[in-house]
Amino acid sequence: MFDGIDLKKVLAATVAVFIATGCGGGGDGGGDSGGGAAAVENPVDAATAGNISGSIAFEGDAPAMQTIDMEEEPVCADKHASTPMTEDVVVNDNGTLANVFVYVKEGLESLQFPTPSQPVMLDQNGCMYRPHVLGVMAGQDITIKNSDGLLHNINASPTENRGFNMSQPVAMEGTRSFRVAEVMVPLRCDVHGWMTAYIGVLDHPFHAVSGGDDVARLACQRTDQPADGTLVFRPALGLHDRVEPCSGEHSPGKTL
Amino acid sequence: MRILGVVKGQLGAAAVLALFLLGAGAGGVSGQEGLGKTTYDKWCSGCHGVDGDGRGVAAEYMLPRPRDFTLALYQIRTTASGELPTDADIRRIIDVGMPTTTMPGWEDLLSEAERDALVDYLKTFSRFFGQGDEPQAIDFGRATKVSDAVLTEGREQYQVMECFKCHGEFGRGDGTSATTLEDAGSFPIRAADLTENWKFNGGGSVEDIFRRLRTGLDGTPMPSYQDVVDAGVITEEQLWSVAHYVRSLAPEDAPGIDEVIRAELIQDAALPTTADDPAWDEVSVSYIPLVGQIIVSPRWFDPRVDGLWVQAMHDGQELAMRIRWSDPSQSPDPDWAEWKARIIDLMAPKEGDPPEAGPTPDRLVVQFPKEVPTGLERPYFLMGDQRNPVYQWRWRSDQPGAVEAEARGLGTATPLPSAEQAVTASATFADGQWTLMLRRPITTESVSDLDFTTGEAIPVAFFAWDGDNGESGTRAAISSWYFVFLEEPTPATVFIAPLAAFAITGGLGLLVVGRARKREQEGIVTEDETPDEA
Repeated sequence: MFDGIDLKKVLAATVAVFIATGCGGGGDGGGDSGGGAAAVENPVDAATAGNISGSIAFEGDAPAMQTIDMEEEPVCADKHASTPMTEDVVVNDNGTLANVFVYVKEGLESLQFPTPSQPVMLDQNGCMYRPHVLGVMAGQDITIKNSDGLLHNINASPTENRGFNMSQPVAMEGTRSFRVAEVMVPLRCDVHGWMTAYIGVLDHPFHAVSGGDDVARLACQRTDQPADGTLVFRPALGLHDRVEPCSGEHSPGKTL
Repeated sequence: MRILGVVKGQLGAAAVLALFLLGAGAGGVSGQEGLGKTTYDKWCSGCHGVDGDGRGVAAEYMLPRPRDFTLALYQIRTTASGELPTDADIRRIIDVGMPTTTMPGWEDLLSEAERDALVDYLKTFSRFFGQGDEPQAIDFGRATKVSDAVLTEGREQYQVMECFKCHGEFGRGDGTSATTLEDAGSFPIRAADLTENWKFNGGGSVEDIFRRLRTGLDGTPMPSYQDVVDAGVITEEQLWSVAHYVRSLAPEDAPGIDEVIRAELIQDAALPTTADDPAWDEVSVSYIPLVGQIIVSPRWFDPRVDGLWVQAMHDGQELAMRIRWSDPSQSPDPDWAEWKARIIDLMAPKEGDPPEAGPTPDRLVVQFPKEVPTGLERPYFLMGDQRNPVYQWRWRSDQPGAVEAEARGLGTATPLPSAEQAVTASATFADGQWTLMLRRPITTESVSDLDFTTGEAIPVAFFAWDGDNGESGTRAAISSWYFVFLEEPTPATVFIAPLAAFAITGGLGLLVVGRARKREQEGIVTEDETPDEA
């Protein structure tokens, strides 16, 4: 689900675009979803729905990622065709940036969306988190799977939610969820210090993660009323906020 | 009483450090906004910060850093991973402290009302308290009974659950993952040394260990194993077996602090020639606690070596001493280079002179006065001074043997002339533990060293450095003065006196009995004769 980059629904409200790389800090205010006004359940109007898409272009020299020494874990090392690398900054061959979490930041406060009954999957495979970045709704189950069959611990360190630190010493699954919106929740395996993942928790379903290709599409209704969006690079690059309007200027293919 | 003594001694050391560091941060009591606040501001804010964010003025001298109460992350709980602690959980840590940190126990220092008020006040720092239901303690059930089979099962599950990856095969905190562990504040944190259960945060009993396995230690890398039980990977009974096994890695009783290390006299066998000679298993062991050197700058607030197990014996000609201590690495170990750099970055800059550059070995120093004092006065324990020098055996992990030296203060050690070097060393490193044996003739021709004497308490002190923990120079772990006592040959009078006493007693007894019989015989005659006389 989160490998997909195409969001089919469009919002009927003024929204902001928030584009964040995986471990971009800075919460979105968190707290309980919905706000004080009477929430409108599942307000998407298919008649006015549309898509927005954009490329996450990376300019300049891509920083070199570090190789991961998996000598102590041959089971994991054997799962990688080439030397595994850290995923702090993943720049695709075409210069686009992967693992960018894209979501609607503002404008949905008065709306309420049903929590998906389907869990999202976070796998530990080859001593790497798959995916490295994912999005969920508050209250939505996250199935955490250990495909390696060796000891992993999943140490979640949110600030708006309560964290957890779960042991998975064999191939098994566990389930957790986060109660309120929070972007991003960092996850870490302390046994394998290179293993990190980031979960964007939202109180709506409008989010996507750029993948191995080039495009992240985001639901966003074109509107004459400009709103602000923000571009945040992960700490490995330094933290930068960049405001972008979510308006008619956002034609598909525009480089943010 | 010995256990209590050790615990108090260790907490005392932590308390001294905490109170020492608190000095600048207390900042006075701000108003009377409630007993909890006044108590907190006076006693806690120096480390934990006025706002409870763990950023008190003393915090940067501490590792682990003081708790950030705004996160409401509490290691020691009776609640599930990620849940808030109960009031009783918070109160317990206030009472007994956290032995592996600078957090002392306050049970003897604050009133019950003050400690209760602190519980309430700490909760005000986080918005998580007061949301939802009150935290509920888990019913942990009763401990299973321990047996050899249970310990074997526990050992197997220790392997299945791969506890060794952090804690090491023998539990000394030397697992392959131990080099990169971080706490919730992204500060380096050590894997617990499971052979020292008396220092476990949250207690060292089987029940305490089981609780930690069930709940994890939030804010640290130690996860909860509840999901593993819930998923049927292991049973709760097997988890108890792990708790029993972990408990078995530590001594049955916490070590007492022995003021005197007894060097036993070996008369019918040769002294050991190596550190792992089985003969050492027959000799009594003394535990010597160490603390960070925080007197002379640059100080060291994060010593890795926190205790030594010391044995000694002599044969009338030579004195042999064996010292063992936990150390997760054989410094310099490249796998620990990043750890060392992080520790130095955190702990060293504020102390002035930079640490020793380049790879740093592990080191150990055994120190004696240069002359056995005739009175109570001993040289200054921090390697003496100009007036009263000390004599030392100095060992380091990157060089063979050991060196005898004289010192007149920290950093002033000068090796004795090579012709006067007589101490030998044998060291092994295995499974997160150094075992070092040092030997030297009891008397030598040198005028620069100490001639040991039997039957006398000779002051001895210890210094230790873990090179991979960024320790060198004055950044060391230290002890105060203890004593080593070389047993004297048992004088013949010890054996003769009881025989003589026995013979004398027996002789006297026979004499008394003989006289009594004689009197009895005389008495009978008298009685026989009395009626006639009457």
